[in-house]
Amino acid sequence: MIRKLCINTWMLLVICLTSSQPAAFAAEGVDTSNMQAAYVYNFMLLAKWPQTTAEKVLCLAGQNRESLALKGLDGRDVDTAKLKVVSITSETELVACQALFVASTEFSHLFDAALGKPILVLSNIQPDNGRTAALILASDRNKVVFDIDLPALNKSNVRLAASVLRLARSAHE
Amino acid sequence: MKMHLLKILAYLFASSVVTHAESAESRKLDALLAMPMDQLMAVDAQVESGAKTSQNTRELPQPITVLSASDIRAFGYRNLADVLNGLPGIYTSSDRTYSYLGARGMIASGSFNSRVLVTIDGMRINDNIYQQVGMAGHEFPIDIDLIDRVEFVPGPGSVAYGNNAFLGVVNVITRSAASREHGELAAATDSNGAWYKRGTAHIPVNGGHAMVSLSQLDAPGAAIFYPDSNASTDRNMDQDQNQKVFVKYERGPLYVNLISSDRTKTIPSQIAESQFNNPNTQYQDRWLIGNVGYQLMNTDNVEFRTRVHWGQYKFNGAYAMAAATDAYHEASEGNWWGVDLTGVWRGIEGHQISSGLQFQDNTRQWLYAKFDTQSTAVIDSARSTQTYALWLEDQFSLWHNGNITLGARLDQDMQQQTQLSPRVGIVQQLSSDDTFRINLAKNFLTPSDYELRYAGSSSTSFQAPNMLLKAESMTSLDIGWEHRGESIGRTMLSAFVYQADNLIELVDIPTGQAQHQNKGSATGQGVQLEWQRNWQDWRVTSSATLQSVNDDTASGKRVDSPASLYKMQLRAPRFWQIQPAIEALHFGERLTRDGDHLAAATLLNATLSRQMSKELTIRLSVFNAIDTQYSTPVSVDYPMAAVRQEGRVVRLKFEWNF
Repeated sequence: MIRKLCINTWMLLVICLTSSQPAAFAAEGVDTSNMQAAYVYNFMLLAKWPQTTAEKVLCLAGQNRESLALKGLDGRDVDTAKLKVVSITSETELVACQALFVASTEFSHLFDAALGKPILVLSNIQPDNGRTAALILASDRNKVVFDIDLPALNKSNVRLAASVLRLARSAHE
Repeated sequence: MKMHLLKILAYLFASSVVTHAESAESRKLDALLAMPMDQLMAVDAQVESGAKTSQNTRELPQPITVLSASDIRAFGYRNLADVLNGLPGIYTSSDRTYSYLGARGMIASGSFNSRVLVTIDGMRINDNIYQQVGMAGHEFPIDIDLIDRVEFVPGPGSVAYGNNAFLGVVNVITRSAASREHGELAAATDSNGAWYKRGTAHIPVNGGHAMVSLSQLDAPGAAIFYPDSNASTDRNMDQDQNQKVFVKYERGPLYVNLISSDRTKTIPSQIAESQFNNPNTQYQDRWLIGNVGYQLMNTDNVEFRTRVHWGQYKFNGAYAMAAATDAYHEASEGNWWGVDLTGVWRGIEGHQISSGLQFQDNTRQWLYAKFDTQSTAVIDSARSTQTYALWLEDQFSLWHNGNITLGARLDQDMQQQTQLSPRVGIVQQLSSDDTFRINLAKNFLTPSDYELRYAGSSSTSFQAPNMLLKAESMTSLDIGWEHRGESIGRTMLSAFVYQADNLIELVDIPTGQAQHQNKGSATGQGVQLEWQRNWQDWRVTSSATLQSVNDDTASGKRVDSPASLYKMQLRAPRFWQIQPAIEALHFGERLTRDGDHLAAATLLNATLSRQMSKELTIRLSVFNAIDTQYSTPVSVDYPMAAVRQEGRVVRLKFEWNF
């Protein structure tokens, strides 16, 4: 009886502790994951693919803390198309993707596989010996910024609005 | 009844908290999605630990070679030694007790005090007795499957890392605690009868993400032929059993790591002249390390982070000797805690000033050795010490497309000696594809407690103390050119030259004992070419290193210093859903301490990976496919001068993500 009471009291205590927000973690900025999702959504709005499709498929390869909110983009409108978010694990699935977000180095070979295909390749992981995305999101001081790899972008034939190129931290040629 | 009611209330409360949190997050995302991009760029993001700052590696005075989890898996690597053997300029040597790391023609077999620093998530975790963690075999305390990437920075690194960063720094970056939806199970077996199992769980906890991983390896090993004894050991003489636990928690600016490793190895190579083929000669290494880091500040001009860490290392060695009266065991225990504070300041236009303070309290450094039949210990010595370090570095630009890095670090090491590590680096962007680098630095390697104090009071003890040991020092100059172009791929040509003094070696002395001594100087020079190229679904990575190290020995040639290293990795396109990956490694001739030349070795490794479903992957690997019979030199701890290395091994591995 005492043991059960202890277990239940402990359970309540854990729930109360975990639901409270310690002062040390008081939000001093917007969640980076939400910020990166908003950037990706904007990139999709401002991109023009060689062919129009009824839906825009954002493929996710792996995940990390900063990419978790991307799934929240599923079902949103991108102009006249619906945005569909799917997880992929191999290059054979790339055929269905309009955009690819690589969030784990386990899938950095997908950078090679997507190169030259009409896919907007995005990432928030550090470049891996030349393997990189067309758009790379990063944290710089207290802001989310992005860099553009122009050769990779040009090879994809996906066009980005001039405003995106202007706002990039850097555009490598 | 009351208990049930309590459970229902708790469930409802928890559900409402989760739903409330989810809807709040959804509203925040909606607000951000409604913002145009220029407004979005003005929004401050939350400070997070380990934020990916995406520093442009072209601006750094030393090049970085990266090996990512994609390649670690594709090539079927089993441990860190497999990974590092594939990297340019690195080689390993195994005495069948531990694996040692060598670079630029120098290795530290036997002394354990590695000249290549290995960090985990940027943090050095060396113990305070042997200063090891240059150990790269199965003894490395992190499971290789938990590694996100391995970064190798060749050359001196003492200005940032202090001790041990003598010939290069290997940064092992573990994967994100949020890298899986729920978890992963893995199992492997090989032709030597080894069994490997791992379970990893990824759990959202209190608004953050936790990863808990448990691994177990039970490898009976293989029979090894020892020419000196003209006999092979039994198979169980090479047994390696280990259990590893890794816990990682990340939430906002906070991260916590906990590493636990317990390894027992049967020693086949007659260490300290123990009895041949007796499985009672065993080593046990246990690690328990904790890190708590916090990103204190990350504003436009100022960045501050801190880390509190603690650790415990325990060693137990049992030696079965021919005469029962000679059987003995030894032990050591190190306990420590410390705190680091690191900052970056960009208050002056064009300058990035980095600085750091480090303190470590070595609360226990205990060494012990005792013959089983005697009542008193040969060695029973404990002490405690403190270490301090302060470093400062400025990266600034004086001319177009070029920058200079000036830095210095002051260490007060465990032996209360003061060490200064200055460096100057110049980077020039010659074009959008070409980078030129020069780096001149001075490094140090302080003697470990083991090297100084592992000795008994009597002259009959097996090792003599040497409290006069000085720190090794090295001055080195690196020059490099890097080209990143679509036509020929990524190419790096580099050259190094160094002068190392006061090198510490374990040598035999006339009393019949061994002793660590400063054995003079060595000069080294080398050139290295790296090349990476993708075309269509093929990817090639290759490197060639030519090096020469001369020291004060009679022959003038350095022991265990291969003059050439050639490496190539090839990933080919999939066929029948199978991904092939082939690796060829060539290690040049090596000299033993007896002056014998060990033949050069060429190894061929291959892995076929097949993804059976989104969740299940199967890998079939063969290591040393052509069954090259080769040996590497070992230290005077062993009666033989070289030990045969692993032959052909076939391995099958399953990974299931969920």
